[in-house]
Amino acid sequence: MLKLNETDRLLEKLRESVATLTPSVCYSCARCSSGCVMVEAGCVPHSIIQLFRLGLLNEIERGLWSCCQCLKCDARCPQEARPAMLILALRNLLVAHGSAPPKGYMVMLENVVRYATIQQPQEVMNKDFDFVSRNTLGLPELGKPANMEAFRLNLKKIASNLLEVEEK
Amino acid sequence: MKARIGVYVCHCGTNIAGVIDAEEVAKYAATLPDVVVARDIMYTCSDPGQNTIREDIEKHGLNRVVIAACSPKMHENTFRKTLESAGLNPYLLEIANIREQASWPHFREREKATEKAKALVRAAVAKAKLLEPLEKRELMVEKSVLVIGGGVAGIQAALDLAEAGLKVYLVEKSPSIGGHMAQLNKTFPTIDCSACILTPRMVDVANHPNITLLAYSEVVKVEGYVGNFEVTILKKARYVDEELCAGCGACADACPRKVPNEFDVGLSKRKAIYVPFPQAVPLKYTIDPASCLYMKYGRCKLCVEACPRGAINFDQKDEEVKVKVGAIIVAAGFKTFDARRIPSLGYGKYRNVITGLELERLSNASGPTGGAVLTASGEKPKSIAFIQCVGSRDLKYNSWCCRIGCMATLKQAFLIKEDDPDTEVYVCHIDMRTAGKGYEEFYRKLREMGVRFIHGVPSELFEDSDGKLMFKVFDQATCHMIELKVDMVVLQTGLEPAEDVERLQKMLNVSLSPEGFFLEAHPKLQPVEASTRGIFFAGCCHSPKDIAETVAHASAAATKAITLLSKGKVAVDPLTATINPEVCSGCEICIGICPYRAIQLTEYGGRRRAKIVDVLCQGCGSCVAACPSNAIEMKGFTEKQILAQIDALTEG
Amino acid sequence: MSRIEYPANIRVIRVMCSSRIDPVHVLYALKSGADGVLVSGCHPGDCHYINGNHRAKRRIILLKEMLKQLGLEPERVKIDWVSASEGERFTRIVKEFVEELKKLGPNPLREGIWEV
Repeated sequence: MLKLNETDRLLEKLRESVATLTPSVCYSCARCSSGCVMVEAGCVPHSIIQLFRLGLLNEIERGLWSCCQCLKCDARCPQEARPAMLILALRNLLVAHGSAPPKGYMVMLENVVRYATIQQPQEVMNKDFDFVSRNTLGLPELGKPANMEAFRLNLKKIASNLLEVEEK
Repeated sequence: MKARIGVYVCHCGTNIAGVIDAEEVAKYAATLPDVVVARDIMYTCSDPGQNTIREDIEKHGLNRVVIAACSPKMHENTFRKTLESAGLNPYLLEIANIREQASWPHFREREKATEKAKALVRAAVAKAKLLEPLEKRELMVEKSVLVIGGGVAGIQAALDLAEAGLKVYLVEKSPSIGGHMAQLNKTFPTIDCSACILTPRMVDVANHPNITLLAYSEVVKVEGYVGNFEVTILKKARYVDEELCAGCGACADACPRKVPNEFDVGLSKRKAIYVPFPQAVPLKYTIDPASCLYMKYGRCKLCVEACPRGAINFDQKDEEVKVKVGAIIVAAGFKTFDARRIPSLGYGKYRNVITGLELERLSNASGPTGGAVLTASGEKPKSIAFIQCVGSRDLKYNSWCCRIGCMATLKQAFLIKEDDPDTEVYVCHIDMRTAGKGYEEFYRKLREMGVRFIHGVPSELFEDSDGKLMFKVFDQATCHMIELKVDMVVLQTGLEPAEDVERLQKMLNVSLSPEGFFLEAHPKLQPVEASTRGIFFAGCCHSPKDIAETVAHASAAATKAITLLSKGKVAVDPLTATINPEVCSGCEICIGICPYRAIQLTEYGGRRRAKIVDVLCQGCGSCVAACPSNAIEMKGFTEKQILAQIDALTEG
Repeated sequence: MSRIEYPANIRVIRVMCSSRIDPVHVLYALKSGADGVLVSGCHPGDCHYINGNHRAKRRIILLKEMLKQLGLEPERVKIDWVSASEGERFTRIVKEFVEELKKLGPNPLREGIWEV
């Protein structure tokens, strides 16, 4: 648990990774959470803001990664407290402190490296309980980078550039 | 006459003397040219302090006084009176502010602060030498008042003024007075019937010998100044002779044209010839030219046939009325937030999403359903949810609190529960704000009655195929997402400045706050006065208020107007600009610059010259700096005085 | 006003509105040896005299252009907005201005470097 005045300093630090952070103006109307599709998954935006303001960082972690960053909360917030931005900044903070993102994220990342998409096309069930795929629907194969090696190499380059910028 | 200056350096207890060596400053002042006497005094503003000054004026024949003390904002007027009581012109006073400008900000640098105090005294002495006696002028005032707006604020102000014996012109733009209050059902927290307490006062207005009611009229031009405003009012044509119309309604019965009724927020229909509501004052019918068939297509005239008194007159023209008044009270009211601006709440799209004002009309016995709250399909709703702060406390729409939404919802919920205790009522709120006499008690009563309060507001509504509304709201007490399905949703929309506020603001030359409400001269001490003298604000055009507050505010505005006009004359501050017609070239630059329209063109020796209308000039000095011929001088802040101050401050 | 400290080397002349200030006053102060002149008024849109501060702003902007032509640093003149309740802001502006002026050095007109 953080001491309360330490959250102010932490907020300053978080602004280095996400500039537009204004959680202190929240007045807990819960419009963000009422419209959030991820509440059931443990992500309650206004309560993340309040936990952050009270310095209860350990309590936040659970909901942090289920946010899908649809930004509905940011758009509907009447006070421009921008909960989604705080969530993003807190994720950056966690990763910077060595905690790994949830497995799902790593799988997505691996998929991008492997197939250039976050997910491979899957078979899904339709209303009539039939399994359909792009193939059975007559859809064309998904495109792929022509040269997977070059794609991966460039991906690495971009990632290392980003890291460098971060270090600076 | 040679200047004989007295300088008084105030200790202000330790406020000044704790940092600045007041004695030394006084000694220094004594060495300045033309200074006859210089003293340091413990509390200059106290009785003994003022007496010392009075005695010195007499004993030493002082004709200028310099006081080195606190900000002139604090005690300039006090010391002006001191001078006056000693027989000296009150404007032969100069104040050097050595507290806010020296002892307070430099409390750690005593010597520098003392040096600065000396410099400020030196500058004040230099200016004092050049001060001239100025005379306050008195103006005769017109003992009448214009009240703009005939809602409850305008009605209250008009009745107070009229009772005090002043002549009142009450101008209302719609066909009847009454305003928003006439639309309401009951009032909180006493559940008094709104119309029952308002309509007698409306009738009083119509019958009062001192009140001239100009309904269906608009103020189009305001000229003049405090005590002497000349107002032009446009009396719109009703196409019905007010003298002849008895308000029987035979014309409306005959009229074939039906249009949405504004008074019922569009929930019912009225005819093209109409009174807004049965208790209208004046009870005179009006033809709405935009919907009258005869006016649009040249055929019909059924109303003419129906009228037993021959009151209908299609040849009637708009008419301009000019009145002279001494003061103006602006009671222009408000409008409600348009909930269509938040599409995710579905107002205007989902039939059972209504606004608070619409619910007022539905629940009103004189309303479109005769007082039955019904859904769009005509059924009694079994469940109703109120959503608070719609458009209010939201930076995207209105940043302010509407002040009445919480109590309005409680009142409406009360009426619904009273009608049928089995109706489920939910109130989704951010904070319940129930400050006011008897308001918190009323809130408790509603909780006792079983209204379900949810701390949290939904951000989107959905309509089910059966016309019911579904929404999710995160309740902060239980930390659960609540899913609700209700028959009706009431959006408690906020209050906004009325549409014609900007037009009035320009016409009256007053200021608006950033929100668009009228700005008072001082938020605490002058809550009804405009910064332009002789103009006052009443009610919601100044800021959102409930009825009780509006009435208090309106009475305050009326009292201020009565105070202003009671003496029959007003004193005008002499710190104004003057134009030397010998020097003026008539270029008119100053005329465009003056924010108060206080400069006029006149003839002088056969030439066009600018002239300042003293009573309009507020003394900003903008024209003085702009005049290319240096023809304008600012009393109390003359060119010579300012340059002398600069000289004194830059020497040494 | 709040008792917040600011440098003791500023001297204040009271006018009712920033629009009373004639650019001549500013030039006169510089000629008389002031190192800089700060014109301070109400915030834009919040003028006690409706729109005087806008006029003052335009005049001072033009004056700064003139100073350039005269060979004086335009930074010696500054216009900024401070309301009656903003002691903190006033202090900050004065501090910054004094720092800027210190960097510029003394007013050349005062030092007798220039003949006027």
